[in-house]
Amino acid sequence: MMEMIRMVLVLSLICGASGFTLATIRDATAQRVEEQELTYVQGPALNQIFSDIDNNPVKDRARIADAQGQEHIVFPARKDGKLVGVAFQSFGKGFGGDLGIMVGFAVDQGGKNELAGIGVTTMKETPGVGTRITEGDFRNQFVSHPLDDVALKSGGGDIAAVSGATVSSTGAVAAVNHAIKTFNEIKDKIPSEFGS
Amino acid sequence: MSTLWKEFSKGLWRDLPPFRLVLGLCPVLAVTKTADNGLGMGLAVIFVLTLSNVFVSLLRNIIPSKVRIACFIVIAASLVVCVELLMQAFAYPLYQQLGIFVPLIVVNCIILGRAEAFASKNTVLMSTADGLGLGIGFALSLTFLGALRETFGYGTLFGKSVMWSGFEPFTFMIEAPGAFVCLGLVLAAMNALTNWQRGVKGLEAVEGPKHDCKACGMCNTPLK
Amino acid sequence: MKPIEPLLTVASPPHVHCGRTFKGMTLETILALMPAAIMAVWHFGLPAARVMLLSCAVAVLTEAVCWKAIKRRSAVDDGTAVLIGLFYAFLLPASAPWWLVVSGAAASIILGKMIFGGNGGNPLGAALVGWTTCRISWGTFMDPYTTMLDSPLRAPLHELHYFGLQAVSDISATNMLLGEQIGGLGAAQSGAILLGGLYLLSRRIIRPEIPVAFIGGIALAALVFQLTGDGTNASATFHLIGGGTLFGAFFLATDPAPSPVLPVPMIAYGLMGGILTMLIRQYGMYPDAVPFALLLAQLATPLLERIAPKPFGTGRVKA
Repeated sequence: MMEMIRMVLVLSLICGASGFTLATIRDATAQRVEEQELTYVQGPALNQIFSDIDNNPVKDRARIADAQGQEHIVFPARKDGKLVGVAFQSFGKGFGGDLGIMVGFAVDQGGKNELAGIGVTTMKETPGVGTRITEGDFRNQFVSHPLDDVALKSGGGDIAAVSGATVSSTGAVAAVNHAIKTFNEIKDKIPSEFGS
Repeated sequence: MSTLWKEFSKGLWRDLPPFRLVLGLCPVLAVTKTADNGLGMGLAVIFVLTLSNVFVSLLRNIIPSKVRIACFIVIAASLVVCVELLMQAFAYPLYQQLGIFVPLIVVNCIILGRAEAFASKNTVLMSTADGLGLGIGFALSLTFLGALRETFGYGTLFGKSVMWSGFEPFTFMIEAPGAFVCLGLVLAAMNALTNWQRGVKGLEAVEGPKHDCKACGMCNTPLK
Repeated sequence: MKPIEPLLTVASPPHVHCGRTFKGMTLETILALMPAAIMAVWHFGLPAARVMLLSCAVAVLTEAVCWKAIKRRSAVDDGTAVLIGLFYAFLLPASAPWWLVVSGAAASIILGKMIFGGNGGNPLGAALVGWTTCRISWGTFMDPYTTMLDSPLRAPLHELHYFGLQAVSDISATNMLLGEQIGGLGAAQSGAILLGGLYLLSRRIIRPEIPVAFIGGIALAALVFQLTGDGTNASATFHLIGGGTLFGAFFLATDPAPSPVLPVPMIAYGLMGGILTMLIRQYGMYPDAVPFALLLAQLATPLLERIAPKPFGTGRVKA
């Protein structure tokens, strides 16, 4: 009987100690892990969108809630201390599951906004076909595009789909449109969050 | 002091984990595509192995023998999660490369093997030396295999180009079959080296398994 | 190796004792390959001769070095090294660069044969192992179609794979039999290979089960695809004389060590190789899939060999 109690006691103590240690380490590293994750997963996409900035968008990020109360991690882009754009991630339906697109908006001073560009964060598209949405030919069509009428040519817009990858292209465009809708909901909060 | 050194140094050659004990082969085969990955994985194993040896040795008189395996696994698992978190926080690209193989250190035979065979029977100091030695041996082996495969498979070493300019990468080496072939060749070379050393000392060579009826078992004749 | 007992000689299989030697069988196999070799030089010129000679030379040299390294009595004079070198060269395009020939022939001997202790020990066809090693590493150099684009000859299996049945409808069977096609330099000489294969059969160096079953497997699978498909699948004849199919059937598949020794397993092995070839051609990414299919079939050999009659007197003893 004593042995039984001892076994239970020792095992519980070891498990408890290990759980406590891990929880502490997790807490201590959580912030850094999130930052690293954003830097290496979202960072490359952000660099594709904003090439001429002098702040670290991942470091300056903030959470902003949209009209439905859903929070988005918004990355600001600054040049010479002035806010030139914001970007956040949005999802569309790709050929191989969700397609993560980082959509950048150029925040203009005159109150007129346009797209700054897009970058792909996560995808499982067909290599060599759907993955071509990451190439400049497709992405550059979004640079300096006005915020309305973002659609594929087949849908009456002016974005040329990647040949052979209609599903991936449609998914990307859907993600961009979804982001534009969110942007319109949160744009009033941006100055208070990041300054101008 | 001399025994301490003996326990430490045995992991570097005599009991070199992947090539002598032939333990922990899963990461040896899977993550040694480049020398960088091999080294990163090796460092993680050094950390886990040494600390798990220390903790097991510290607790060896408290842990009841009936639940010792569970205790060892809990200790190893906690240390591995610890490594994983630290890697995520400070070496994210390495974490992306190693992926699932970091959590799999828990079930690496070396960790449990050393806990059961050594740390649960020896003092903390000895166990530390043992863990550190075997861990360093494991890391060196992984780095060596990674360097070998990277040099031929990519034509680079630690990311720097080392082959001549017209070199066509020997892609076979970085594919899965190349890992098995490479490991086999290294094992053969280790055995040849041992026999050569024994020959120098005037000892008889270690023989491999004999090719007799028992070793084969290809036909349906039942054995006597 | 000293005889353990004065009366019995212990040697590696095959144990054929009818005046016929292993060396003799190997030499006759090489002889059977000669028509194809000559046709290869006829079609592809000196580059083909260069590839074959280099491959054989490297194979023999590697084997000699290996015997030296493992300190055993050299058996390099039995001619199998030449045969393996020739097999490997037959699978290469005539345009193969020298280093590809050298590394593949060396890999065939070392990884395919000597690692397992020489003749009879190899679980897989030695030349197939070398070929696969190089195919994985340097795919673009190994592919006859992409390396010989400037050749006037056609590549039936590749064009079928990439462009469909329409594109190959003008390639006649006579042309393919005469070897006027791009493929492995010797493997594609279908007519000459058929001749060599029939010679081996008539000399009883190979048993008919494996080649017949292999060809049967290809024909069966091709027929099924043709009957159930939408008319875009080529006929069985096309698949048989295109590329290296016949070379696989008569020479690669009948390699004594990695193939089964009993009739039923032999037929199963041949059928498996043939059907796998067709499956890879139909659904896979390799136009001429014979080497890969044969490797897979050879891996299954130990399992297939379990289909064997029970040895006499070993049944369960009744109490």
